[in-house]
Amino acid sequence: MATTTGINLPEYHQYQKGKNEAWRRLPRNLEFLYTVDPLQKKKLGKSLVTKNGQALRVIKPEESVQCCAYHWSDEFLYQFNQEIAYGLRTTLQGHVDWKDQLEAGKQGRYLLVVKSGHSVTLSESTELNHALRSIDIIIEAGATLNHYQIIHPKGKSFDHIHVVVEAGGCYEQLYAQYGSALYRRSQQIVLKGDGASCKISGACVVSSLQSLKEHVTIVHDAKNTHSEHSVASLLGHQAATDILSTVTIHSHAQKSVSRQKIEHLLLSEQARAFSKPALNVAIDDVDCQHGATMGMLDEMILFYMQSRGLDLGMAKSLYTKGFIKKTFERYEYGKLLTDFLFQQVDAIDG
Amino acid sequence: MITIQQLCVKAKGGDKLILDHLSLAIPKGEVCAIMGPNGSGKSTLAHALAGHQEYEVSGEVTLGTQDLLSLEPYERAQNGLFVAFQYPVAIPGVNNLFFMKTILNAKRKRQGLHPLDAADFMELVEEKSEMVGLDASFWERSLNDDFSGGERKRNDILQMLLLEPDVMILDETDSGLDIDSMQLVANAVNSLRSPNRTIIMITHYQRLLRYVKPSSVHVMLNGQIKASSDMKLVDKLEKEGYQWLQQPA
Repeated sequence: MATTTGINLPEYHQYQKGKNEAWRRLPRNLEFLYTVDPLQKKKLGKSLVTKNGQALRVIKPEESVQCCAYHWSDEFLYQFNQEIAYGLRTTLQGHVDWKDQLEAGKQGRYLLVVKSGHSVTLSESTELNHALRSIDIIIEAGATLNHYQIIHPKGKSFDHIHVVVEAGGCYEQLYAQYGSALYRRSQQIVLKGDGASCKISGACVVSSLQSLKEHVTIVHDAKNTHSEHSVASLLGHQAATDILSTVTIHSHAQKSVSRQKIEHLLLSEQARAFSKPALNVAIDDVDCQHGATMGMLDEMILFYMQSRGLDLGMAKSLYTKGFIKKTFERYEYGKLLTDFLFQQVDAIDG
Repeated sequence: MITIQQLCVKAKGGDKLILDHLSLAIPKGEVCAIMGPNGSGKSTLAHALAGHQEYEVSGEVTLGTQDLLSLEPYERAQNGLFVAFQYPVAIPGVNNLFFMKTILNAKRKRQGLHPLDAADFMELVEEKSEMVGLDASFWERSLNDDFSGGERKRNDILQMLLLEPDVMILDETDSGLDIDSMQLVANAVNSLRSPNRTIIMITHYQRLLRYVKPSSVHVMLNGQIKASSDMKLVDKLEKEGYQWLQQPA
């Protein structure tokens, strides 16, 4: 077991004094286990990268040790493999069904490319079990990727998605995910070319004692770019979720449009939710909206349904499933994602 | 028949009686209207009878032979009570058609009947929807979500037509309806008139009452029934307002 020392960066100390929000939060006392591939001659390791992209620290395990456990006691924002070789590099075409499974202690890193002018549908179903995964996606000029994700994490699992969208390209992600003991996902989408766009929509169900941390950063790095990020989370007894959505619009990204929406529905007073829709805008000529809501089940809605003859359990079930379903109902593959989460909704305790 | 005796209602944790020892008996087969100025307690009466948890309620209400106040809201509905609310809520993500099918089949299950199959259900919904002027585009939307006020009320009436309840309370269903919609709703309510059903219309205006003729009219004031008569009382209220009822005898 290796133990890191504290962070020694000026920005971090500013954050600790409440002056640098870019360093905001996340889990303390994190334990992470991964395996070093003995076949790879290259040194393996991982970097912790902050939200502003700055490499904070590279941790390298001892080469002779095949299985390492880290106890990271400080806060960090991204868990990101920089030195791990891609286990998969592929160019996507047409419709792709992808089932990914990472067993305990494994880590995977993938590079997915959509070539210029192509339109691709990627239907992904992933199980992470005490695992770390990192996906890089490049969407070339004029290409489109519709990315449907069903994510079932177990134990303490980590996911990082980095997407670059070039001019006129479009990345659309629709995801359904469970919580787990700790599931931590960070996404960074860079709209790099004129007219690039992205839409990230998802719903998550976090059951009793589970924890879900979702950080999305969208960078408008070119003019006429368009982004949408919306999340709906349903939290059971003693569940916890953190959803941070940050949109950064650079000074040269005129006429950019962004929308952010975070919704939490808490089934228990012991559930905890944190939302932070943030905008870093360096220019006037943009159109940005953001909002966040959080609340318990609406008594008037429950009463209305009961007044039509449905008992309380049935009313709650319809209500919570409706909360999940509205995220997916307009999409071709929405039913698949809806059905996946409904299983969890049926089991959730409030 | 619904019988209300000495009904007292106040908001939970509050001191003020909104309904103050209200008594009223409406026989089976009767259509009655309840009128009254703003804040007289009309909507509170509807909510309290439906079992809204915001209120502390005492007194006695019987629906047929059933003690209504001892029942949960869903049990009251299961015993034949339906309230068309003044402000029906929107429930995003809950499909309107699915909701109608769920409440109808839940009722059929209680009656020991098989659930309606898809074809029979659609035929029934088409027929009833036409009565309230809601076309198929409303079925596929979320329940009351992005509906106008009038559309929500007609949607409530559609549910009522499907459930065919024994006792119907229409809480200001006429407010916010255009002339054509008013006529449709009135026709729908009239279609449910029967010697076995009771209809209570809470309203501020006589417009609806011209289409659905009540056999009795009651006026509420300060949480009590202050006057009871027939349609002549409506004419008097139109001319003189409620002032004459507020003067001490």
